[in-house]
Amino acid sequence: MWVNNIMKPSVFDVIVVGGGHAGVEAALAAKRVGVSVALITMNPQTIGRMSCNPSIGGLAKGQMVREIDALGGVMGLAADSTGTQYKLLNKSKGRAVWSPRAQVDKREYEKFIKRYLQKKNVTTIEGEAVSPAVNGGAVLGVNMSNNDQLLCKKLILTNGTFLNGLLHIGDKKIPAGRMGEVRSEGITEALNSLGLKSGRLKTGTPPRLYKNSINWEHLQSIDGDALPIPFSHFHTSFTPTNEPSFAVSTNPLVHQAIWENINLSPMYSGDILGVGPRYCPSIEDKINRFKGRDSHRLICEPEWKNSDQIYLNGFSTSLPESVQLKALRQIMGFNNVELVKPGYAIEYDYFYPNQLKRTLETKKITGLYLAGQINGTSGYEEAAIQGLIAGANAALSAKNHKPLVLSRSEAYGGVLVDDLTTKSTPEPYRMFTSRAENRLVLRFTNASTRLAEKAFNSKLIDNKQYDIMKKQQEEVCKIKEACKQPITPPVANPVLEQISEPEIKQQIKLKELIKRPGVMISMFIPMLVQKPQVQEPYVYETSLEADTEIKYKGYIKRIDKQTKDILKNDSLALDPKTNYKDVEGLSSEAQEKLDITKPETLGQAMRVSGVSISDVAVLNIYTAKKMRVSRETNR
Amino acid sequence: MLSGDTIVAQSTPYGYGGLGVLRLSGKDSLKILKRITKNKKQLTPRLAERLTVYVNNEPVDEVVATYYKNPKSFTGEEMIEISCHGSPYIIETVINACIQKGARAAGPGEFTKRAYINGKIDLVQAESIANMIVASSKAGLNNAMHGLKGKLSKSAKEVSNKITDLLSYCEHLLDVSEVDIQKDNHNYVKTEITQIHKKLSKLIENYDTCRVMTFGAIVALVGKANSGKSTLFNCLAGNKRAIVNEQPGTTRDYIDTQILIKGVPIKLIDTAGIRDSKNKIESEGIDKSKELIKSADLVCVVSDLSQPIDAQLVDYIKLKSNRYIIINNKIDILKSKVKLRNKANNVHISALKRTGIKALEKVIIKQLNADKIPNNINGASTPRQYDAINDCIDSLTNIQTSLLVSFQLELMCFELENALNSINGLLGLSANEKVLNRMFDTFCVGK
Repeated sequence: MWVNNIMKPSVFDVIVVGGGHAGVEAALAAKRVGVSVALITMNPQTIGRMSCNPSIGGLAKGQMVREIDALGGVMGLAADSTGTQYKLLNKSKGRAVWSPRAQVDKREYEKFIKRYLQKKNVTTIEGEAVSPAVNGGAVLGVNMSNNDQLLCKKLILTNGTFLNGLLHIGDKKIPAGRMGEVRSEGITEALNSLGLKSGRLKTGTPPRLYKNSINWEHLQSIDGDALPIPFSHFHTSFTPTNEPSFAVSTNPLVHQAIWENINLSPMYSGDILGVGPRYCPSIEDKINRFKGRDSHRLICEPEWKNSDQIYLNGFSTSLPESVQLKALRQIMGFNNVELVKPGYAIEYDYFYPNQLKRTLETKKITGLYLAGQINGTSGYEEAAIQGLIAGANAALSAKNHKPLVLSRSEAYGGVLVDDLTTKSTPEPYRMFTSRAENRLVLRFTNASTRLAEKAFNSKLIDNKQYDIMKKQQEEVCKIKEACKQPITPPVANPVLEQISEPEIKQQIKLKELIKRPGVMISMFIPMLVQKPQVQEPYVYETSLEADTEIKYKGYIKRIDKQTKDILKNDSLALDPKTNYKDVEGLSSEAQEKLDITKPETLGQAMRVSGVSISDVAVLNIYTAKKMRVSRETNR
Repeated sequence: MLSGDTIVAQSTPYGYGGLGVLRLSGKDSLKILKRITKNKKQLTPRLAERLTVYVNNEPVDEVVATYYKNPKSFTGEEMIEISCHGSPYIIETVINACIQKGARAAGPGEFTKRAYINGKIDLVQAESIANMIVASSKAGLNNAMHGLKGKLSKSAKEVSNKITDLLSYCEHLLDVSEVDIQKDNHNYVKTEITQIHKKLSKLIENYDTCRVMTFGAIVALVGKANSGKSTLFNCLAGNKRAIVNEQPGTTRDYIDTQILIKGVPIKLIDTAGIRDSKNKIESEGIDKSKELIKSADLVCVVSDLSQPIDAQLVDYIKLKSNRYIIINNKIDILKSKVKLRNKANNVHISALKRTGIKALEKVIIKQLNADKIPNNINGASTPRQYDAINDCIDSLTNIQTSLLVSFQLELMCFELENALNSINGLLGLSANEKVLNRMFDTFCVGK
């Protein structure tokens, strides 16, 4: 049963169930904090597998990978070691939402992860966990399907889509975790019997096409950026390949073929479930939502180097295989296309995440943590950062150290956890920049400024990593400082002329010039800094960050003010034992919602849907009164 | 205040009158009424009932009580209105009786605040109630009535909905792939912003008029010592309130009075004469005069024609004040028969002989823009409403003038969110406790 039996303590500090993106980060984070860790998986071959798209990062997700990296996680490193094409997305929208994304080689990626786990001495156990072993409301281990019991202080479940997974292709239904992989049964029921409530979600994946069945001449080739931006902060050099992907467009005939059969799609929710405007995963949904558009872009992405199967990005669907084929063959270049695997939807159990604390520990059972898709999220990056937070906190708690809590105002990871624990979304939760009210400060270029200190204090990064990130931050400060220097017309105007910007008449401070939208610090860098003190891959982004900080100064100031309010309310603790039915003056809806959620802070309570401003006023007074009473009785 | 206790206060103004009305609100209202009246009968909602109030078993007044059952009451709670006979002594006795039996004296604006908290009215409507009570003109009352009926709220809600729609549209653009954003998206955002901007501008274009009609305009008389400000004050006020004395520096602090000129309510303020003074009290008065110059709707510089005009003062006023006029006083002591011609902001009078006063009044009204009052004005009438709408406009202007050009989506979303917060703040949907308290503190007790 042991895959690598490096050490087997009688009681593990932390056991992680599941070897996906959440499980891997959880095990590694716990290991970094410095406790004994075991990772249980049904199949060691599938550890680190990318079950859907062959890419990492993207809108809002790219920022999250940066955060994972600043917290010492593996995802950025793995992607950078296996990336085949890099692109900075959203360049047309404003730099706070610029998001790095990379195509990666799926096979190499999972190999990298497996090697990394070995290198970090994470004990891997092959087997099927069926239920947590719980005594007196606290975890003491995990029960295996072969009737073994493994003992641990903290247990992290990262079962992903495997809990009672059910595949849908048209009206075909196949029980599985991923196509071709056995689902796990029993965990849901076991957790239900411990009092945790579960629901069911659906998510989908697009078809994989045979490379040789595509007429590539008709496809438009897309290259990555000439200047690739890595996810990880810790490279000394960075020269990934730049392999093209290929674009095609749907047309009215495609849409018609889908529209005629839309009732055959189990994933098509359309207006029926009222899925929010921010989430449009399937081609069915897109066609319904954007009726005015007669074309959507699809990207053909190779799944690995020299792959014979092609991932069709943008065509997530659960239509019957025949309809998928019929629709696709209306596309120029796809006239004879064949499917390796049709697109499919998978339905699986998840646990309402408002049953979790901000550490991702369940409120009901001490020592039991849930992370990843089991909490109703979708996406590798969303899963990974949860795994990291759960793993770190399980280990910190095992060592009786202070927990790692990210605030909404400092990280997408904080937004994610806060949203999960205060709202129960009826759809898979995917990160978007629009979810973060503070997104103007949550940039990919400042993840280390936001998180390095916290990461270091929780032992998630070592001295060396900390110093590298500090140095990068210092470089930004140095550039900003240099921009306070005056610049004269003879120096500035030749540069300005090149970019058709109005010339300056008198000497001004360089930073005043930088405030113009069209002027970038990088145009003046040679005059500013003798030799950059950061490694070559980070020269561009340190200057970009300095540029942003100067250009957005006014906005950042305004946000800082708002952030103070958020932090103030988030530091006001609410008693988790409060019975909100007894709090007079609350609306009955607020009483009900707060009783379900039992928020940890006033800030969280404010974000529970159904809680109005006057309810918050009531809570404010209620807590103030309680504090006064407890102070007086303590006197 | 939200703990559900029962509050009591007098709702009619303090003083002698035919009737004095007091209100009880809160869950113990009925119980308290029973205790002070010894009435055993069940009260029918909205039916006036004649009862006797007892204190220490002695009858103190025959009253009429009307019971409003929650939530169909002004505050949305159990509420009783008691009409007593209108002597301050009786009313105070009845209030004390209520307090003895478990009620608490209400704080300023607490009834209206409860109505707001219980969702009976929104913040704009709450303000309108305050405005109706202080409204000093027909037009002001009219606007307050519109406010109470929710006309301004309705407009603000429409804007709030429109901004919400636009914000979610832009947020959506932020999250979709770049290739999906096209020219039509840009144009849509642009037209929407323009429309919302226009709608909001309408709501504040009559702000000055609305405010003046509700609260009155502040008109300050300033000038050198002994230029005749107090004489003019008395002349306009029609009584002898200010002390008139030939000794310079007689008016050391300022005094004010409410007057009506052509139906426009005006708070007329007589200030200390501005001069360098060694007298401490007097120089404090002078500081106050300088403050008033900044805040007044109209500054009237009163100047003694027999003396050279105080150019320094006029310069100061030009710098600090939006509107001013120069009143050349004491034309009666002029020997020559020179024809003195009035200009838009320069008039000649004799306060002592009361000549030229009609013309002065006309100029004042014109300067206040109060000569043409539109019928049915609807819009902001309090500084809070004005600021909220103005903040909202500022954010939209920011988008129009700079962000739209390069379509900086994330910054546009940021500004739209600010705009939304401002307009929702106007309605009290996102107002914090501090704002609420400040607002309701300006109410009198019992409203």
